Amino acid sequence: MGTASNAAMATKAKAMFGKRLTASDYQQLLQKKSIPEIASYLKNETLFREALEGYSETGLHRGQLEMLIRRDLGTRLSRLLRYASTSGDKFYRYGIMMSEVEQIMACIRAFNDEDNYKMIGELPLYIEKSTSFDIRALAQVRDFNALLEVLDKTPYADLIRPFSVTDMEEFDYTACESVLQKYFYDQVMKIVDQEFSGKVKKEIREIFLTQIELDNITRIYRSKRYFNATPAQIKKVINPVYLRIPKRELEDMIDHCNAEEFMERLARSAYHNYLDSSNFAYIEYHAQSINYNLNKRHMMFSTNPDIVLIAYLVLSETEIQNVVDIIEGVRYGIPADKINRLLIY
Amino acid sequence: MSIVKMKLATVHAGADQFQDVLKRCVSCAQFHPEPAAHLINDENGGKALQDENVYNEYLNQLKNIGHSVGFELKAGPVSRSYEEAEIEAFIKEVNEQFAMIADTHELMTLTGNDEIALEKVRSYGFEAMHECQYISFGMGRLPAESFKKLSLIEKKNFVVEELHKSGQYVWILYATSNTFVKEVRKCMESLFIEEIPIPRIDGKKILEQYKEKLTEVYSYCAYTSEIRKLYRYVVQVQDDYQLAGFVPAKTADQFVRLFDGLNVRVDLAEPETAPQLVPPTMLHNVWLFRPFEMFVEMYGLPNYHDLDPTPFVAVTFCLLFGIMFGDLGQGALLLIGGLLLEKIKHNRLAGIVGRAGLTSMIFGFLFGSVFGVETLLNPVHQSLFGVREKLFEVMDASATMPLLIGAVAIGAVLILMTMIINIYLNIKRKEMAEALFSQNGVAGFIFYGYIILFLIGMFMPDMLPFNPGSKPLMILFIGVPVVLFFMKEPLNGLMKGEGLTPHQGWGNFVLEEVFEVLEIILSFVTNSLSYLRVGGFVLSHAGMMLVVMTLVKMTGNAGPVVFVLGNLFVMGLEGLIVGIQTLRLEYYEMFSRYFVGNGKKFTMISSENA
Repeated sequence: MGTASNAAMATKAKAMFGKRLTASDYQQLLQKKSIPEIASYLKNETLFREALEGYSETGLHRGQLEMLIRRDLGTRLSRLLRYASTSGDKFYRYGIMMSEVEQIMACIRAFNDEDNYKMIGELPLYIEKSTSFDIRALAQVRDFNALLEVLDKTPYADLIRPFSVTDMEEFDYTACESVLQKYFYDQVMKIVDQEFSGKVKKEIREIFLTQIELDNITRIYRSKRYFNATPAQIKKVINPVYLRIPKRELEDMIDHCNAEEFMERLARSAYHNYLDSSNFAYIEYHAQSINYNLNKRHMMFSTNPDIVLIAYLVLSETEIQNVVDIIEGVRYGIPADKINRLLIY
Repeated sequence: MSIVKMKLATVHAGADQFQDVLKRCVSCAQFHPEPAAHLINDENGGKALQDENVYNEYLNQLKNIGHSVGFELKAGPVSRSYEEAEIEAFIKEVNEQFAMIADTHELMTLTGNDEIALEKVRSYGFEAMHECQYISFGMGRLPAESFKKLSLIEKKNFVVEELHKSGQYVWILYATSNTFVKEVRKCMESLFIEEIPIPRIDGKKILEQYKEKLTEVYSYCAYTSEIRKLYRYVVQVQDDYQLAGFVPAKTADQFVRLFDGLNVRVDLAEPETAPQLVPPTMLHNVWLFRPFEMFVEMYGLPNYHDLDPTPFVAVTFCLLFGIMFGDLGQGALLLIGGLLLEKIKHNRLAGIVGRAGLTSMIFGFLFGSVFGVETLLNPVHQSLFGVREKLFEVMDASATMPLLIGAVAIGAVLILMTMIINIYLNIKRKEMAEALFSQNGVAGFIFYGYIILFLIGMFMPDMLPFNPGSKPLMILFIGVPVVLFFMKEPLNGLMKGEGLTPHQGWGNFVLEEVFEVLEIILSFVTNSLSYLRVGGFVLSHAGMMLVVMTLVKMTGNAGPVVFVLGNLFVMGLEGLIVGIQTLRLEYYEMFSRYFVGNGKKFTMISSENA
């Protein structure tokens, strides 16, 4: 049995998905020349109306706009959970866990900077009541030991302790991030195993395993393309999950392909339906695009409320990423057609 | 029936006085001016005044200036007059001063909340803040969540003052030493501050200096501009400036006295002396009929020389409404509610409802119906009218036919009455052919009246002392009117001395008139049957209340609630339908027979109407 067995939630989620940004909305947004124009369009014409209620469109800061849009997804999720038959769902806390990992990494990345203002600015205080550690305290953390102190009594402390270094120049960000992410996915899988059963469990597992596999693919490609990493180094940072690409094949791809060959092999794999190498933007685009399409199918055809809800979350995150891409693109004056190539819808 | 009698008033003034004349006219409530174009002809050699309104341009300039510094100009009383050159010089001066303020605003649009925050900063002195050598200030709105994060910042090289807050934002003023200004700005930027530049000059101070005179000049320009708009009513015949229009005869003397102290001449004349002008129509009725003026105005005002149909509308509307919606209790509610609303809200429709409620009560009493309870008044009926049960049992099967026939009979009487009014009006207008030969004239009256008599004779032969079916009578009262309908146009031509031949030739004429006469006869039938609805609604009202009463019985303890709701529902739904149907009878069956709504409304002189 799923945690949210009420079909009303699935219907509501599908209805909410119906209000998503359309191709015409994206085209309108791409025509905008400034952040206030984008804010005004989002506020007056789209589902983000409520999120931007009360904020001035003319002076709204780009970072603030992004944060409000991201926060809106949380509001939508809690609204959907009201339709669920059980409350306080353990499973849907995975979003909080994901934020925790992101904040820990943001905190570590700021160690080398002169100040941590950017990290503080983006700190999601609105989830502080739900987090497993005091995220407010991250603002005072400027070195690794202080971080360990804040994370004390959480599993995160033990996970990151081995990466402790005296000089932050030597810090292995990729490995640390990979450990935290692996932990995150392990936890998600553990909850899925506890909370669900049968066909639903299988399908939900598949959704998350696909995400892990796509994360792996992204990581492998990036390591090969930008860091010239050795196969051994790569194998160390990937999460050993094999869903659509068998272990032997993936290892073979790691061992014997360079970045371009890797993409070619991928185009012949089980993901070939979702790949279009003629429109190559960057690896995250492909991973996200595959994920989007798979989840769109769940959204359209599944009747199980939990699956619909997870699909809704994934699709909404992609939508938010699209809006953020447009905001960033307009801010840096990137031509509309170039931004358009990054959008997934 | 009263259309207010008018006098044509012409005010003659010199070049130096006509503006004063206009000013005084505006203050006078009852003057309907005629545009200069209606008064100019070759004979008087008059010309219209140039209505180039330079003051309107000044007004716009002053408004723009006010807008640029966020000051809303409002016209007040005029204390003195200004020469055009004086106004232009003032606008130039203010423009220069205020351009400086507008520059310092750096084209930023401030919201109401921003203004509140800025107001607090003002007390420190904008100029003083910019003059500080070692300290830098900044202000802006922080998202409320970011404001909480200020306390998380460890190395605080700044001080912050909370100025104002809303649900989403907190407005802050921060100060830091010049050494840290770059870092502090970066920090604020990271917290998504939306900076509001602190103005270099305190525009408000400058504004304060000019505010009074600005308002004065603005008021003068507004007033003068309004007067200029009225120039279209002034005719200039050499040195004589004339303003002509209509005033109610009763207040004509008052109008003349309006110009006491001015060197002007006011001529009062009867409207007929100026045939080129159409006198405006102003209705005046007693309190009882006054709200019904609304229905007449909705259709079109009567011509000044015609008759005010308001009293007739009032009586017939109330009568028909009362019959169709006969219920003592519900009528009483309409009466009280309508009159109260009329008193409080001055709503004319409510006044109509109130008055219709009264007749509804009267017929409700006659039908013996109180809030749908049909037996409550039986003892009263028995003692008053000596009947066995009640005067009129609407739902009784035997009552249906008399009810419907009665409804058509009322209709027939009303149709005949409207014909009489039409005959009177056409005689007054000297349209004799229309008065005598038309379907709503004498011929129509005789034709329709005789048919009614004929029907009475058919069903109740004892009522008439003669046999209406006799051939000579039929020829005289049916045949002759039909021939007259047919020959109306040639007879009209003959009476006007234009000859008997119709303008379209005899062939076409005969063809057209055959159909015309057929239509006339048919319309008499349909118009009469149209009144069947009056009887129909009596039945429908009783039927609906019967349903309510049955439901009351069925619902047991909830009966009283159903009783109240049912009554309210029937009052709302049926009151509306009956009101609409009655209005339809007024407009289609009655107005179409006698009323031509081609009157001109009496419109007070004012710049808005100019």
